[in-house]
Amino acid sequence: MQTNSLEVHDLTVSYQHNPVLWNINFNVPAGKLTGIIGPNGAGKSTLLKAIMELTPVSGGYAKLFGKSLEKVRTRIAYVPQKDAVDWDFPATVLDVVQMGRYGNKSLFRKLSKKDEDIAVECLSKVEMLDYSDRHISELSGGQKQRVFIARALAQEADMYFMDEPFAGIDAASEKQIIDILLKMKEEGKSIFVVHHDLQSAIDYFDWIILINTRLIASGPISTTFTTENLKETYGGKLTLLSKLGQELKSKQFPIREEE
Amino acid sequence: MNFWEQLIYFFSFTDANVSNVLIGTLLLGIASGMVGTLVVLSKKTLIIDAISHSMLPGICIGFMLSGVKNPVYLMLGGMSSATVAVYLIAEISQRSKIKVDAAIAITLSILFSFGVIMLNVVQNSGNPNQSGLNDFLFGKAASMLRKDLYMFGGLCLIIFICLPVFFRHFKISLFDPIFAQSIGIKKYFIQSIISFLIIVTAAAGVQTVGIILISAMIIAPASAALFWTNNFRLTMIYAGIVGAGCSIVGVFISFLLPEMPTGPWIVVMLASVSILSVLFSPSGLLVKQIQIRKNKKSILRENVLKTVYKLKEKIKGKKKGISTEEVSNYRPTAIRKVRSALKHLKRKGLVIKGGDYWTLTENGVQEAERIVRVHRLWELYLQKYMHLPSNYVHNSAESIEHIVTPEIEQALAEVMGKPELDPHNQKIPYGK
Repeated sequence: MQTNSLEVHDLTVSYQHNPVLWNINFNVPAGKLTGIIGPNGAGKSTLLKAIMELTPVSGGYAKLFGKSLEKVRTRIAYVPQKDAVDWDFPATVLDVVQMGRYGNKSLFRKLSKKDEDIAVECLSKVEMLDYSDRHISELSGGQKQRVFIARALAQEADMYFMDEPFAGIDAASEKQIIDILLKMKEEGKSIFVVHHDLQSAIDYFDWIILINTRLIASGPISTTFTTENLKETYGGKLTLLSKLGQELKSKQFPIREEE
Repeated sequence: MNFWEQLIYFFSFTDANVSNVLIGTLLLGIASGMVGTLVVLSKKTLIIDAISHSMLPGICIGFMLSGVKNPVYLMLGGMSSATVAVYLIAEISQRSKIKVDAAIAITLSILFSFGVIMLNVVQNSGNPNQSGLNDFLFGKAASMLRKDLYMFGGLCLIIFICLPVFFRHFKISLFDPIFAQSIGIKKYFIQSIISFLIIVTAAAGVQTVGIILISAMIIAPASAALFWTNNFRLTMIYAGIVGAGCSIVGVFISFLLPEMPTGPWIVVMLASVSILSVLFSPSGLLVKQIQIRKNKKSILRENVLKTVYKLKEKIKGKKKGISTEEVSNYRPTAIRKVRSALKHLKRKGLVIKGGDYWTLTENGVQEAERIVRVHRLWELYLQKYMHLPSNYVHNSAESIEHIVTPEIEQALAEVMGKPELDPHNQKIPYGK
């Protein structure tokens, strides 16, 4: 039997009673480079945040390597959107990458020499070693993203969630990042990437999750990336669902009954 | 006593009153600077004002309940009402349409008004102990006694323990709160600790600088420190040093001139350090202005050099050289500026003066040809790769020619090869 890296069961998320994700169910086998694809506002980033317990869920749950997040946290790395942080913060490139080492050790202790070596190694993997003493505000968009990837690499996780790593970066950086992701896949890592460019999706991923508030399809790219599925994904929201959503919001009904 | 004797007396710790005040404000300066780093970087500076102002009703209640002016009761009261304020702000902004800034303003004004009303009640109550309670508004460092100092030291001790213990939590959460949560740092826990530290700092500070000015003590040192370093730890250390230094100066001024208030002087010193940082730090305004002026001058010089070269090209040896006036007319520039630019070029050995005429030296010719070459190559590049018509390329090249580094020039030459003519059919000089 093939092991699953990620199982999502009936996951439902709403912001202020407005449903963003309805009843999402899927399984993804381990060792896949998975693209999470859908139009703007489809809930792609919310899906990652819900899995990482960064946003409250109304119902359902996710299992990572068959366990709850709390049990396997050190094996999971999450890369937020690069616009989500303050790039004027007083820190150098190396500082940021070293933060990754705290993913699986106590925050009350100093980093060891080995931790520091790993951080430097990860910086060189994304070809940013020359910038290690630069202030983070001096970086270009692609470089910032590479620093984030280096931080995730420094976590030495088995599963990676990346929120729009290709947004707002140049073609050369995109190529570099995808090469790193492919190498990680070869090492057996499971990687989930929020992505919105259909053109490149077919070249990058071997597994695809199509969502637009609800799950459209999840499966190997060869059988899932079909015109029919894409039409459904980008064909807009289901009118009935969004009408119900507005109703829930305006009357402050919960989307799941409390137990 | 003259100034120096007073200075020595001040720092000799022989006067118990002076040393109480000095130690107290010194500790406060360090603590508020360090805690301020957290607040400034979490971009929640407004909350400090809410916390300090809402301490007033708590202080009054503390006094009413105990009937004595014991700093422990007063501060416990103040810290409790400040905690209520933080809680209220969070609840209002999360549960209603009211945004955080409005929630802060509402909470601050309501609780402060309550405090002022209570202060009036207390002052008219006939309790003789109440005198001096209104010192909490503007602070009165000189009134600090030994028993105040113990409480003060206790509060600062809490801060000095929390900061190193949670240092990495703070650093990661303040830079990237979502990542921090993803590795298991509890968001509300860290936020609560930061709020708690602000409350403790404010409680320690109200007696010295007062409710109204304590926010300046917390915000100013960190804001100034951020101009001087790109390192989180150093920002915190610098902020502590700035806070301590300004506190000592403030206390010393009111020691020299007893009618002068301590708190406001500390804040004035802090403001001066902040303004100096904005102007004179490596990332400050003045450095930028100097750089802009330098660039302007070097552009002018290069243009003058180029003009001499071009005029020379035109007259083709008919005359001995080019006069200053000719340069100034060819490219409308004030003659005074042209003259000073030519003098500078002469010093660098790029031009020489014979009688009233200027000619280029060998180095001057080389440098002028380099500028003209970059200019014309760039025009060609724009035409070829950006598909600009030839009458649009000149202005861009005019500014680009001054900023092209040798590396970029080499890259440009590699891309373009060695074309003979520019888009205006002028020869591109390659030297020998």
